[in-house]
Amino acid sequence: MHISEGVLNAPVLITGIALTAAGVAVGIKKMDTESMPKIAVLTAAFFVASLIHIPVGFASVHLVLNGLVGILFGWAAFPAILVALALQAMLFQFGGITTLGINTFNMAFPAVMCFFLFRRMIIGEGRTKAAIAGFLCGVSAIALSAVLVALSLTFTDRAFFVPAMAILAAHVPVMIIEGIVTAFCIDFLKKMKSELVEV
Amino acid sequence: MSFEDNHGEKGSTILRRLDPRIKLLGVVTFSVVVATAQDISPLVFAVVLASIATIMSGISVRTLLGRVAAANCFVALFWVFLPLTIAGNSLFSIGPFEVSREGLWYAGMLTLRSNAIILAMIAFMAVTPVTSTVHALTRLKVPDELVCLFFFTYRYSHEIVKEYTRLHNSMKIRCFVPRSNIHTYRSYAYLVGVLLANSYERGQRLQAAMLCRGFTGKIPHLDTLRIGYGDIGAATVITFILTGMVMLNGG
Repeated sequence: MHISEGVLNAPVLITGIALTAAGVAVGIKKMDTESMPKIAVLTAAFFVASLIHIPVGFASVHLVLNGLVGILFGWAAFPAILVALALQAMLFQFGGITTLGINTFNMAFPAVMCFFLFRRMIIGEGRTKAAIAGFLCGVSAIALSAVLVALSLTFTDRAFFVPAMAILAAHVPVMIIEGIVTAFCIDFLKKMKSELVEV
Repeated sequence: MSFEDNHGEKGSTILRRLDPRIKLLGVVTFSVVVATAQDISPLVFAVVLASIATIMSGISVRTLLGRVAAANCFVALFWVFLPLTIAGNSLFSIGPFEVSREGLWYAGMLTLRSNAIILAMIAFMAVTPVTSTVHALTRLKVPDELVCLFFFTYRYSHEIVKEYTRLHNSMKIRCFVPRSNIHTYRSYAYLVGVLLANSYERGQRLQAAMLCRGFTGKIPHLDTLRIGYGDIGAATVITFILTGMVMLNGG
């Protein structure tokens, strides 16, 4: 899901930084200072969850769970994802610095979209309805992220269109797995810790 | 699962002792210059310098190779597609596809850019403890809320890795073998669910504990970061190098 350093051009990188800065500003504004330690611990949990590799056929994919981040965090998904990516860059030098803006936006924007689209269905009555919404949330968050990655590449250079399509195709299995995992996870959280989903 | 902390590598090299603010600013400006460079000469120069810095940092070869390989996975994709999709003088053909000189050139430039930045990041950041970076961020006027969020996330990710390991071990003891089936996906989903539920409770306790101590959304810095002669020297060298690269790019 990450775009490496040195691939995108300056206009795309700058747009990414500007959009992320705006999203982070809204996120911080909506997050009260008191609950920040709680959000940080949950961000850490998502960070660790993103290191889990899950087998798909002969390969494996790592979890992204940006849809679930969106449901739990709302606009705070922007600062949370920015922090998780920055931590990844510092600990494993994965991702990068100049790409931090665009990579954050590509994952956080779908998260916030999921918040507005699926949250009502998820917090409402009915397990099946919530699980279906969870599945759709997982699928669409990854789908939208993959589309944004493809767009970032294509806006940089038309020549990137084919690799961008390859990336999009490679994300189809990821979408399905994220959908399944998000659905089960939401079902589980609603049963076990409903205040987490419903705050 | 475990992740090494940046303290992991022992020893004291110049790059370890440098003020974290200079390292951070240096690597950010270096990344910006390299990411926007269009000519081959500044890029080759950047890769050479970043390699020298990586050797100077004294990071272990195994860590280095692992991280460089991980970064190049994404780059490899472009080597597969660009020579075939960018039209230009064809060098040779594979079946119906023409491999173009321009495509190879483009992929090569991209690889240089990507690797120069990754090497510089390894040289500067992999040997800097995250806590020093946090202090540098505060001193560099990054918003307090973000620094604080970053610090707590970093601090608790270690705890949560321990918890993950504990849960994962208990799954393994019960003969859990990950496969591509719904049982695996459900088990992982519940594992993530437990991690989140426990983190939520842990977060609530942390929040209460922080409020007891008069938390205002700010981490007071107790360190005494001071710019020494070595730091000024290093900053001057970095500035010269970056100016050189910008000039090479223009010329």
